[in-house]
Amino acid sequence: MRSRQPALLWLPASLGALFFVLPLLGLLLRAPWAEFVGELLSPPVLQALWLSVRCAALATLLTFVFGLPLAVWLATAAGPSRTAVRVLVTLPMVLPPVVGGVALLLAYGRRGLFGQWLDAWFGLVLPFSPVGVVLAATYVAMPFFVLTVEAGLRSFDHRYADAAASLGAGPWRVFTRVTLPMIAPSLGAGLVVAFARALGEFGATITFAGNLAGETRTMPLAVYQALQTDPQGAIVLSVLLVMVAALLLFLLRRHWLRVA
Amino acid sequence: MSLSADFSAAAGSFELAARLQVGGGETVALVGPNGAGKTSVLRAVAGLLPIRAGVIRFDEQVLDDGSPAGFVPPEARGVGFVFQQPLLFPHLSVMGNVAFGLVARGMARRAANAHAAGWLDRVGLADRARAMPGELSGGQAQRVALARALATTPRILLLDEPLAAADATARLELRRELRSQLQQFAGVRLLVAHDAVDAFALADRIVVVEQGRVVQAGTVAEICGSPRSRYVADLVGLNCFSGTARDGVIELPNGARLVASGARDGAVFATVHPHAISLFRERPSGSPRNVWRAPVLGIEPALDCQRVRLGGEVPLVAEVTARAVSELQLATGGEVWVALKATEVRVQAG
Repeated sequence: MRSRQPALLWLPASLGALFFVLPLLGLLLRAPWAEFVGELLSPPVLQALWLSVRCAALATLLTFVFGLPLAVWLATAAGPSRTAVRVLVTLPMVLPPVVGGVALLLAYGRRGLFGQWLDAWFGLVLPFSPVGVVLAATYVAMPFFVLTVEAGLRSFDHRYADAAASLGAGPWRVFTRVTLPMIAPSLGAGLVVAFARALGEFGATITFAGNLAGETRTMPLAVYQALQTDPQGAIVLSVLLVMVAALLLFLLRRHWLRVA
Repeated sequence: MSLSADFSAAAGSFELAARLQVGGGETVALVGPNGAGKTSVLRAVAGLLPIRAGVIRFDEQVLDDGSPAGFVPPEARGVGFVFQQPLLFPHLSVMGNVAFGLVARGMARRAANAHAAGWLDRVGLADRARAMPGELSGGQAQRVALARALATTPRILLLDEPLAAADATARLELRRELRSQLQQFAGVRLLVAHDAVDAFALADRIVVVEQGRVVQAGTVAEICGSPRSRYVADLVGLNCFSGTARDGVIELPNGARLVASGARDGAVFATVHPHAISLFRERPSGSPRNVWRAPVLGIEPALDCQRVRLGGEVPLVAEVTARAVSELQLATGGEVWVALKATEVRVQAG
């Protein structure tokens, strides 16, 4: 798109950019920088931060373990079954997270379709626990990973796998020693996006896991909580999350912020 | 030691039906137009393209008979495959690439690296062992690919236009390299060549594949002596015609006639060597049965002669000496008398 663009586009483009700049500016200008470090190190914040990071990391791990095979299957399979699974996996991306939380409750809740057996047989109760936080985060984060990795696998040049097979590598060796290293950029990007999405999850978490301090109150829930009692604290938490987001974007720079 | 293949397989949009045999220490080149199915033959032998029916066999061992039970996966076939592109694994060093197949076949890393270093030395790239594939030139990368394939000591060596990716200067050196490596390789060698020079320089026998079928097989001399298709005739630089013969006269599709001694009645395929065509300023007298006047479309210098392109009803290329060109005052746009002995028109059943 190096050709001349109509000048008329620049006005809405500038307004659009401004629309994104102002909220960020508001956050940074209103932040109580003097008390920033003190607020940050207060026990409830540290608790929420630590819980968030642990749960998001676990959700990212689950995403990798189950999402990678799913992506491989989606990239290789054909026919209506693939389309069906594709739709199911993509659904959480467009579904309101609250609805996702309700659906999770109905499936894995104490009275849920599957959850009642977990409770009856193993005494396992998933909702309103840190495990519930991880599940909710995985539910919303995995689709981003699966689609990113699937795209990577689709653009993988299969002749490299052929070459490896002809050299004596079985399917598992080809996958782990050639395919995965060669799609490493997509894998990395998928993991970072999944982690960011898991870290920011609110709707599904509060519905499925609740908002119990120290148990299921992650950073976004803490921001929401603080906003009602301690607006200054909410701003501090928000600025912290902006910083984390900036860091994640930095990690993604090759993949998303590609400049020709 | 020999590879025998007689099979059919789905190759893209058409059905490939190939039949060929390669002995130990022999190099067979598959030639044919683009999209004829040459690469698919190699892929079927390597196990990258399962066949539909027939059988591919190495000595007594069945590699594929079209059934899942009879299919030996590529990693267990003992093939070395050099592809059109080097396809070096970009995340591994040059040495890592050459050692890859050895490690995959169970060799310890240290031993594999030592072995790989030896192979890199043999292709003259010992000093590039630590380089990454992206730092190599096209010719170097293809030499590494060759070393990588040979390092696993395959029984069958498959080369798919191995010189295609190299530029003109690297090509010459690579061809020499390839020839010396092929001579030292004891197994079965099957090569796809798009370029006739590659095929003739490297192969003992030629198999011509067109539209998924083997149309001719034989030694280089046999193929050049009596090409059975336009593609091969063009490949070896002969003039060729298809037409219908009756009473020793071939009628071409445009109505032109060529007298050919010994032509059997029916559809025929005829070739005329460019050397066999004589050109004259005046109408020649004497024995030639085919005489006509033709416009000169162009004159191109060839290795040791001038190639004169002639138009008219029977388009031909004639090869004459540079002296003849000046004596005949041949020039593009001019006209010349063409004479062709009936015995020089070589005819086979089309």
